[in-house]
Amino acid sequence: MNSALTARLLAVATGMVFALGLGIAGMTRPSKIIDFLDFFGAWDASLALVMAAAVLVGLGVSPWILRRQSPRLAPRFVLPEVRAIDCPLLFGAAVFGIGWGLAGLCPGPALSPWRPARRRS
Amino acid sequence: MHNFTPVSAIFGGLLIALAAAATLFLHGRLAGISGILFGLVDALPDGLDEARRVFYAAFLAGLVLGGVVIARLWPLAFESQSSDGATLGRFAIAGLLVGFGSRLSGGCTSGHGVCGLSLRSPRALVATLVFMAAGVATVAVAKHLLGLIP
Repeated sequence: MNSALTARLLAVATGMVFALGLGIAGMTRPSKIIDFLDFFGAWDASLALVMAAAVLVGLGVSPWILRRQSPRLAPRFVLPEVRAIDCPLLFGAAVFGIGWGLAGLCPGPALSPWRPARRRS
Repeated sequence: MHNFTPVSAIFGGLLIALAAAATLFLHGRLAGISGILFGLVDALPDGLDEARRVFYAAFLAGLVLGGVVIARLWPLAFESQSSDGATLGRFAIAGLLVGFGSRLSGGCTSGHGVCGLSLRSPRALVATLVFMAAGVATVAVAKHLLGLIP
């Protein structure tokens, strides 16, 4: 199999694993997200554990991956170069958070088909 | 606290971490969904950076495909929303805010909240704290004060 095709298939598989993680974690259910953000109601802490698990693993493996000369299937690492903590960051994050709280969907779960398959009744 | 599901939360988080680590290890990129989506939109017209465009498109195809698989195997991962005007309007406005905000701040829950924090980026930490606080405030107001969210 040629390497371009391998790279494509692996990217598809990676996207699927990501979606699977979102689904199992409960992030594809807007009510679950809203319950997590509902500090003044029946707070559900589950999503804090989703993030904690993902970030702890990320903190552990990222430095090890970035110590390599290059990624496995690409010539070099492409990481954000912006470092500034400025108005667009603060304002954008606030607007994002308002939208996230209003419907309980962030971009990943929103791209998964969050409308369920019609149930036969 | 209700509906607390620690086991599936941790397991789901580990899968997200696996996908993020694989993206960095194989393709040298961050698995931030808004970044990938906007990256694809930006890369469409120029047609120059073929590898980048192909990676973005393939990853997003996998994300959607993964959603289809979950919907087939485990429909309870998704929930139906009522289709009245108020709900549709709320989702439409929320979608606009999520798109605008993640574009402006350069990341979303996955880009800032998972990948950025994993790289110890102060920028991502600030963004994450701000969008969490904004989300909590929004639910407090929209749900408890205004009754917009059932």
